[in-house]
Amino acid sequence: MSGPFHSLSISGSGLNTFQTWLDAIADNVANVNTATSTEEEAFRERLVVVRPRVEDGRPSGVHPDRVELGDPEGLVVYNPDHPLADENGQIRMPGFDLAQQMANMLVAQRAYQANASAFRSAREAYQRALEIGS
Amino acid sequence: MTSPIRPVRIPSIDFGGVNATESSTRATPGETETGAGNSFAQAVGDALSQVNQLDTAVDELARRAAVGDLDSVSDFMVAATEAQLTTEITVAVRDRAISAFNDIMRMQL
Repeated sequence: MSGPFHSLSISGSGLNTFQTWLDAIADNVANVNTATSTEEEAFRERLVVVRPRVEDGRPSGVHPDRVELGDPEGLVVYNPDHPLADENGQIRMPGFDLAQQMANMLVAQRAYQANASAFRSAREAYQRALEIGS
Repeated sequence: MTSPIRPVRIPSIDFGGVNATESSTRATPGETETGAGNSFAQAVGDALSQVNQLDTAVDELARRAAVGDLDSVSDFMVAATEAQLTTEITVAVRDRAISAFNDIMRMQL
């Protein structure tokens, strides 16, 4: 919304965006061991695409635009004991790396905290402004 | 100037969704302000209706949080903080105006 507390809604949009990213990372981490048969596509990494938000011609933070899906090929691995294994003993595993997801999670978490911090600073500034002259 | 107490104006505060009172924003210092005595009451009334509007939005979000229907915790906190700050601004402006009025009432003539 517009109005006197513009920086609050800007920080709020950042909080929302990084929450969405954290949700996507949580989904990736939860499915990191999701195996599929070689006829199906692998679990595809969730990738959040964000865009700058503009309201009434002025910059108003960021918003998650859409969620793209990663590589459907994944990794074909040999695991003949797996119930989904094909006649060659192969299954398909997701094509992304757990370590990369954990690194992304730290980035998203710190970015969320940074936005929360900016939000708190803005709120304190507005409250100090109300004390001017009293 | 015709009236002894110039009405208090708050032209610099943009209350967003509410239409700023015409008389309060257009009046310029030194101009004869006929009927401008209403403008402060009207400005406070408009500000209060803005507070009320934000409060209703926060109430709705609080209800959704209670029934487990809330999409985003941060949206709720942003709305709650905006409502809180708007209330504080309105109360601060009202307090200043009343204290100015009281100062004048206590004046020894």
